Amino acid sequence: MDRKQFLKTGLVAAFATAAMAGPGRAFADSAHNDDPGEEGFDETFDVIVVGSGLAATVAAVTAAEAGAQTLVLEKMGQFGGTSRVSGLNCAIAGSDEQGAEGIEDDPEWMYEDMRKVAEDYGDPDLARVVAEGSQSLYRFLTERGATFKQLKNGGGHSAKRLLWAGGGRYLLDALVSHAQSSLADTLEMRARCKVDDLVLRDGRAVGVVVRENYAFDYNAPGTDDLENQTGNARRIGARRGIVFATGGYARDKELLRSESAVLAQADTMTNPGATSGVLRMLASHGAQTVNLSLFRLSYPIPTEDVCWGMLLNPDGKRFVNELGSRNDLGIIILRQMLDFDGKPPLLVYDSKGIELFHDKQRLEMSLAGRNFKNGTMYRFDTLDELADHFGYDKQALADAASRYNEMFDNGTDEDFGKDMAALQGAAIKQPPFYGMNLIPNNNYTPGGVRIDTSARILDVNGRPIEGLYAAGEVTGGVHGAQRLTGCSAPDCGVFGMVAGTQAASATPVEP
Amino acid sequence: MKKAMTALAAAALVAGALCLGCAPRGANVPNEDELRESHPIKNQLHSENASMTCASCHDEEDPTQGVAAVSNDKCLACHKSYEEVAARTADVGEDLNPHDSFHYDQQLDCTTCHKTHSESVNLCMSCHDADQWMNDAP
Repeated sequence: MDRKQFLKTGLVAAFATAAMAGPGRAFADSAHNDDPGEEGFDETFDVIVVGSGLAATVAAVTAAEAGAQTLVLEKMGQFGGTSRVSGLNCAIAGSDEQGAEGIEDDPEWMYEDMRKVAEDYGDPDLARVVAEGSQSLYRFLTERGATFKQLKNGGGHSAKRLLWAGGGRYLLDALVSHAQSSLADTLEMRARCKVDDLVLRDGRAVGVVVRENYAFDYNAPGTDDLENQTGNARRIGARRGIVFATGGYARDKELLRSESAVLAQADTMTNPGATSGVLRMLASHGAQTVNLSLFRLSYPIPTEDVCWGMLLNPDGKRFVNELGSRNDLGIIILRQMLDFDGKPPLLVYDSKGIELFHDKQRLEMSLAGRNFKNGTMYRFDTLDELADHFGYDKQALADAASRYNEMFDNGTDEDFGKDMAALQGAAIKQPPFYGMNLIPNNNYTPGGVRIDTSARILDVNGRPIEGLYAAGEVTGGVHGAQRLTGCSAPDCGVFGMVAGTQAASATPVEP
Repeated sequence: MKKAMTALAAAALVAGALCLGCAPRGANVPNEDELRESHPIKNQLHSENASMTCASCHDEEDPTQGVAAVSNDKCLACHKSYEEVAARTADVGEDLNPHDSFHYDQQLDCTTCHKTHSESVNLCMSCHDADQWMNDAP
């Protein structure tokens, strides 16, 4: 059975069972279901996994391999969530690729790297689980067919440890192929099935209320959770546990704005379904949410490669030290954009700066016009041509470059304090020149539901809510103030393994 | 690019907005004529095709009781095969072809982008300057 067939079978099964259950209610009541009620469940599994990105897929495969009848529920029409469209660099301490290059690494170093940028936010114990589990995740992925194309360096990592499979889809494809061939009897995946609510009995989650045939509203992702009434209600029981791996909420501008007004200015390249519905539903049942005010801004190019260039506002003036941290730089850019009616700044490199790029693969994507929205980089023989293309005043741009070069030669950035000595010779001197607009993306939300080191969802008293687990971006507190690049994938994968194992081994109840 | 537009227009697919799903059930359920009236076909190639009726896409015995999302198989009953559809938009470029893309190969549901009863969407535009390489979804 090929992948398409496998997925389709799940869908057909979903439609068939929906038909048998009759029309049902058009959409679930927003009121809580505190008991299973007289009608009980339409069907029952051991483990239900909500979401279908990396964390969910790893959790589902782990649970199914442990013998649990496992059901994956995805609200979108396609599986994979943000993981599928992400580059998904994956930090692993102890990979074979590191060994082959003679690179020494230690989970403790990875943990220290993660905590160094966390600014004391988040729960260090959770970061430790990720760092210490990364090698197990590497084995899990590679033993199930995943292969990595590149070992990369990453900003803030004390060792070369970022593995890249060619894109997130390749990790998911390997796991789904594995599931097709080895887990067809225990793992079922259904798309267009939205989880609206939990069913709780005696304080334990024993099932979910879902809508099948859900049609996500791509024209209004931000309000989909509250406004969309498509689909047919259905109740599905879970004997052992429910894993929420539903991703972040970067498409929810209202929630972002309520935490920090400037964040709503940022763009996002996440799955359109990255909304906060599940987060709010879990909170309504007492789950504690943590770190929702934190944010992680990123750029189509790596943050650590911004510094090789000169950043100008639409007036052709520098306004920031380009050698800043992702969030400091991003907030200053977003404020500057507010001052210029949303017009983004221009990042200019010379050929020396381009040579210094850490991540050549992302650079190639930008030059080819395929790197996100507004991520395209253009090359010009002269600064005049560059100014023309971006609608800048030629003289203003020439003046900015000449002042920048002068300060570079003197070794002191009198305007913004940039460490010119750290630039390894990159000024704005050597043609060809490269230009791109730089708009911060808000592609990752560090906040979410609080979990313990066993991936159990905790309530506001710090006690686990029985039957509930979470993994990946839906959780909060794993990374703190600034998640290191390439550390979401090991977070998703490691906690996916933990959640899948915990849920599959929980004492069953008959819902 | 012109070629791509023609190809895309030609590849217009039947969409399966959930007719009744759009309105909460329990409200007044109209009869079939009213349903047809209230769910006009926005895709011109479909609306101008006299042989296209509700039942061309929706085979529920009683559509006033709700209809399911239209499956790819239903679309491909007329549009031949996913491969055929992908071939018609191949000019958009390798990996960029919306019907055979880098991220999703040929795994997307037709109805993710193509809506017969509402505005179609371009999923690629969620994250890319896709207007640089393709046109609107019909």
